[in-house]
Amino acid sequence: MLNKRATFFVTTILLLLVLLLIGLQQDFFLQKTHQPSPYVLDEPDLFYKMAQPSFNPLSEEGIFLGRHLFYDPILSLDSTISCANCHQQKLAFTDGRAFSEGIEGHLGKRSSPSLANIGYHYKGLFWDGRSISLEAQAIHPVIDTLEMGNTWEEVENRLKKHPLYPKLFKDAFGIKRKEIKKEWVAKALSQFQRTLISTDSPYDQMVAGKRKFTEQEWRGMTIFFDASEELSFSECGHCHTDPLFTHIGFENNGIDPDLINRDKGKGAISGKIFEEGQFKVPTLRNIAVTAPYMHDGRFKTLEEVLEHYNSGGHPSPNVSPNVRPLNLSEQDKKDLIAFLNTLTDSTFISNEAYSSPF
Amino acid sequence: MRSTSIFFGLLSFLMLGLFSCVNDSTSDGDDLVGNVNVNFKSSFKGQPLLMYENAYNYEAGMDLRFQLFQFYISHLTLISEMEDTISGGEELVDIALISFKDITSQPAANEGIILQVDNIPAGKYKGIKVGIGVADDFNGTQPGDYSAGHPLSDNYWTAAKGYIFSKIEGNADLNRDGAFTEKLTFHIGASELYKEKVFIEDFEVKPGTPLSLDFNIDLNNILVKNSGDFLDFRQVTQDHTNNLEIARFISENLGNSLSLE
Repeated sequence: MLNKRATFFVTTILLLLVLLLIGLQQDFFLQKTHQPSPYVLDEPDLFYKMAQPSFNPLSEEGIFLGRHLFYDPILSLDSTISCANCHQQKLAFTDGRAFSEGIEGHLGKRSSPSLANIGYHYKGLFWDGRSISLEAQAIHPVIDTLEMGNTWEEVENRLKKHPLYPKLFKDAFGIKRKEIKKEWVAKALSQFQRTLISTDSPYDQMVAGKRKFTEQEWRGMTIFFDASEELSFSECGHCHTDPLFTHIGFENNGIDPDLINRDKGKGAISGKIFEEGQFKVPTLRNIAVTAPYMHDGRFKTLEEVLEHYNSGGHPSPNVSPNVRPLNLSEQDKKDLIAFLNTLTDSTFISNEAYSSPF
Repeated sequence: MRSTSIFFGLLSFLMLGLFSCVNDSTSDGDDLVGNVNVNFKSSFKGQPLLMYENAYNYEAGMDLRFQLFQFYISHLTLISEMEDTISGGEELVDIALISFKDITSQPAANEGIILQVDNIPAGKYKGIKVGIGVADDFNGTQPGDYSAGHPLSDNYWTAAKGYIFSKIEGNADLNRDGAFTEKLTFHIGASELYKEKVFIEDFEVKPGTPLSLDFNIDLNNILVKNSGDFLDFRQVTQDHTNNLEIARFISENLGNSLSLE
């Protein structure tokens, strides 16, 4: 009798211990309760591997939800503006304006940057680098009074009451209607944006051996990368490093003679004087369709941009030393533009997977 | 009784498995390893090198300011006392980009660039060797072989099918009139410019007491040779390794300028 009691007692203790240990293995329960379909990103061989946060793994359902949210004006106060207003696919996810237009015609302070390959930009987002991740970035436009002008409380309430979104959030993240929060919205938007990969331009096809460059395109590329002493140096490739055609960092490219009453860019965020006038180096992929140029859209054409760089820009203590007088000939400029045109990825700007689901 | 024994047996097995999942960080060899802190500082004529902030007197009445100074190191290796040659040893770092771009203040300069290396076998070592530049086994790769943030995910030079080993960027005031108008960009990289440097010195890695290896590199000594031969910025303000004479001048001086404090 005593043996049976002792056996029962020990067994009970051991079972409780097992349950406790299983409880410590939190993944065990999480995996049982919610398993979205993992999405494996088809990354180009030439790009470094994208940094994907472990707290927001890509899934079919997450990307599906993010795509809907990206194109849905439900995020804006008056339901007129979606992310896609300022990031239009046909313009490589820019908007063709010097200053983006928000609700009620409000003009923003800067031009809308391209989202091509945005998932690879791990050194800071926005022109001034204020957000370190897509998840952090996605919080801002909704509450910016010059953009969507809304509150997250209002957005969350709308999504909770919506006939479709609660199911999409559940499918993507396993959360209930009442648990819909801005963090999940940001995660879904980030997942969709990480899929926006542009890597099928004529330049990419040439690199892959599927296309030949014309003599002019070849000459333009050689000038772009300073690859031959027999041709001019344009110094472009220092900051617009391939294959992303940006080193994803920040530079002062000497577009202003001084910064008095001007946009101080990264310096306004960091408070560091030598970062004043520094802005994120934009990708040149699809550059032919992303006019106007610079953070404030001051240059309407690529010719104007080249003219600026050819002049060497305005001096200031922190202008990049790579911005220097170039002495490019008119032919050099034409050749460079011919090369820049090879960076337009028509597959990217027409890919249905990136288009509006509505 | 037999079924009870089987049940307990299975239960014990399951618990052992779970315990091993919960705590898998213990290791029998913890007491045989130590940590190494590798520190890099940069200077100009012995003064801390601060980007943007400081101006430095240079040759021929010129002053300089810098915005970027960086270089790769490859296969930083402690040479074991047991080795007859310097070919073997304990590799501390396979590849690293030593960038002083963000050294813009005195506190940052005092701290330098720190590479912390854990779990190095304890014992005595007779020296350290370091490759300056990108070693051939890495220089044949490309950013697509690496993850975002890896040292070799950046600084790739497609036209040269290799990495830019070192960069020096800044401005020169040619006549000390306060106008730093000459822009300087020297981007150097090619397999033939890779150098290996060996420091023969006794080190000991001890458990619980990190070994500190303090390197210094003086930028003035990269631009000026001992003989007084110097890069004259009145004549040349850039090189993309297209002028091999300049590229070799910088590469050789880079190796010679690195010292172990």
